[in-house]
This record gives sequence, C-alpha cells and structure tokens, in this order.
Amino acid sequence: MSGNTDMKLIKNGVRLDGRKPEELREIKMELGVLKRPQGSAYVEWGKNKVIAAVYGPRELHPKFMQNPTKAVVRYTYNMAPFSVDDRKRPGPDRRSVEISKISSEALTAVVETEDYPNTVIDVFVEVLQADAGTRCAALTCASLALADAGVPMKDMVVACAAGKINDHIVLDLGKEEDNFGQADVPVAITPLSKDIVLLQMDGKLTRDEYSKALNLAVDGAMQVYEMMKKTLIGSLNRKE
Amino acid sequence: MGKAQFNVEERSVSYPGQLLGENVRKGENVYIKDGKAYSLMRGLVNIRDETVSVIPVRGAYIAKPGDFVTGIVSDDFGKVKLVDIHSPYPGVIRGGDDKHRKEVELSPGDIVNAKVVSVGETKEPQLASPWKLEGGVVIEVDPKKIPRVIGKKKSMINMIKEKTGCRIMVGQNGLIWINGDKTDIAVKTIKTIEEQAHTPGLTDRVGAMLDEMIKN
Repeated sequence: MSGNTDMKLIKNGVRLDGRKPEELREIKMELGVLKRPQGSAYVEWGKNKVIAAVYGPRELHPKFMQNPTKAVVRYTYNMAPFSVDDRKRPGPDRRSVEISKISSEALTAVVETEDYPNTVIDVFVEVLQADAGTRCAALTCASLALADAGVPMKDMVVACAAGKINDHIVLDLGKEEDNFGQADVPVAITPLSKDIVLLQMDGKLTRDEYSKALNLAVDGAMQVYEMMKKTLIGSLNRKE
Repeated sequence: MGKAQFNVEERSVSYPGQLLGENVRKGENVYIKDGKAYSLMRGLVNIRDETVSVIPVRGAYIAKPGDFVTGIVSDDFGKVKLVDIHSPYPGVIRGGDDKHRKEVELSPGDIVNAKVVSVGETKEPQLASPWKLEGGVVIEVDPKKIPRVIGKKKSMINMIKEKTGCRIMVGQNGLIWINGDKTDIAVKTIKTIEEQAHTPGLTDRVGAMLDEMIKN
C-alpha cells in the first residue's frame, strides 16, 4: 500500500484488467495433482498459481509439540524464488511465517481435530506464481487438498479479498491494484455458518468502507465456494 | 422427532459441510448440528432407512479390534515392539505375558501380520499373535479401498491367489504382502483394482485382465 493515488486504477467503472469493481478473476481448480501425498490440489486464481499437499494425520515429532486431546494442523506457506518479478530469497521469512500461522488457525476451526489426538496434519502450500491475493488462493487450495485427503472437516474454508483503489471499494485486487491501491482486506469464511476464520487489513478504510469491503469479500468467497463444490463433486464423477 | 427428510440421493458425491438431511440419524462421517445432518468428508452418500452416512474415498487407517494388519517392525524395546502399520498410531506388540504360545523372534525390518486385540485411550493398537512373513514384497494401497481388493466373500483376493499362485496377505491397514513367482502380475492387478475401486463389475473385468496377463 504505497498510497500512490496518482495512478488511475479504475476508469468509468472498469479496472486495469477490464474487470468490473465486483468481479472476481478467473479461477481454475484441480484435485489430486500429486501422487505421494494423501491429498493435493492446484488452484489458478488469475495469475496466481498455487499447489497444496496434505500429509497425515501422522505421528508428530518432536513429541513435546503433540497435543493429547487433538491433532495439530501445521500449515507451511512458501513462495517459490521464481514466483515474483525480483527473485525472492528462498526460505521462511517474517511474512510467510505470519501467513502460515493465521492460515493454520483458520483451518483448525473446521478440521475435526479431536478424532486424531497426538498427531499432526501437515499442509504444505507452494506459491508457484504470485499476483496479489496469494494467501487467499493458498488457503482455498489447502482446504480443497484437505477434502481430497479425506480429513474429516465440519465445513470448507474459502478465502477472498476486497480492497480500495482510487476511493472505490473493489473485489479481489490484482497486482497493480494491490501495489498502488489504498487498502486490502483478505477474508476467509466457513461458508455454512458464515463464520470469519481469517481477517486482515492493510491500509486505511473508514468504518463504512470497511463494512462494505468485508461484505463484498464474503460475497466473493461464496462465489468461490460454488466453484469448490463443483470441483469436489466432479473429482469423483470423472473417474467413474 | 419430525419426519426424516433427505436432501441428497443415495450414492451421490458429497463434500465436507454439505447438508444431507433433517431429522435423520447419523452414520459414519456425518455430524448433527441444530437437528440437521451434515457431511464431514468427500465421499459417497449411503442411506439406510433413516440413517445417513458417507463412505470415504480416501483417508488414514485407524485400527479397530479384530482387524488383521500387515506392518514392518520399526523399534525393539525388548519385550515391547513397535510396528509401522502406516497409520497415525504405531502398533504395539507386547510379548512375555503369554507363556503357552512360543515366542516369535522379531527384529526391526521384519514384516509381520498380526491381529488388533484392543485400541486403548491413546489410540495405540495392541497387536497379538504376530506372524512373521519371510521374503516377498509389500505394496501400499489406500486403506479405504481394501474392501474392494478383498471383494465380496473374499471373491476378488481368492481369484488373484488362484490365478497367480501367489501367497498374499492383505492387511486392513492397506499394506499387502505378496510372495510367489508371478508377484509382478499380482501387484499390477491390485494397483488396477485400487484405481478403479468405485466402478461396478470389477471382479469380472479383473479376471479377464489376469487371464490376459498370464497368457503373455
């Protein structure tokens, strides 16, 4: 959020990439893309390309991290060095550690962790190509991979972002909109109960703008949820 | 309790969080919230009278008493031996307390088939009467697909045993031990069954495939 408002990001209700203010980018989902893990998923969200793998439930080492009442959901978000324009230094950094922590908390809310005490459910998410909104794409992808692995979950987790560009509240920011816009609000919900399991804000919004952005992001997430349902049902029918 | 009402069809594909019905009883992989039944998993819906359950397509193996499992001995603590049965919880073999049976010498790396006697509060399965398997190979199949590998009244597995002449030990945990001259054919057959687990008329097709492979 550089707050550089000189840049025209929205003109006559049309954004830089030709989208309307309340339009999502094109999303593609696929299940079972990897052979070794119990579950995997691949999501293309605009120019974002994200792959997720789920291992477990399995024994958790070191043992002191085990929880004798429930399973631990360990989420590892990682950006590939080639995922951004300037090479990203490989390995965990402040940002990816933060995303991993909040995303694992979001998934813990839906996974039936009491079924597998003393174990860990490992979720690895790799961002192959980044173009703003990777944490939303990653979390959506991770929840698909968990469903693919057959991990019991009360509900799915769907994420979507909304933000403010040139004083307009818009859905699902693209890269330029994220870099030169005024605010970005990523939201993750459980579509059944509409509980918010992840909410962050970067930039400044008034109260009215904030609630407008939040509602817009929830609506966007519900659109993504419809696609997830189709993917999950289709993944089994295709093989038959 | 009101009248049972289902929102889904029998054998349709369900996803986590899907509304399955109202005023119904819950079976496996289903939870009830505010009188409504929801799915916990991606799988096939199974409706029996007023009970709805979801049959998973994939998932980890959790031991049940009475199961026979195949595993690899991973640790030796003297009387207690740990067996890797490809489950979140390792199998435990305790020797010594039964003086009537003769001891089977087990060391790490050995392949064993054993019966699950009990599953304690820690979920660690207690195994008994281990059977050491010499030679052969062990392959891994998704534990949720084992029922198809065995078939109705063991029809599938008996057919494979007959036609290939292999000795086969199927563990409920998804590990299958095979020994014999035509091991490669048996492995290929079982992998095919795993891939096509939810298609009807599988036994006949697998039979035809086996005959074809043995001829060549």
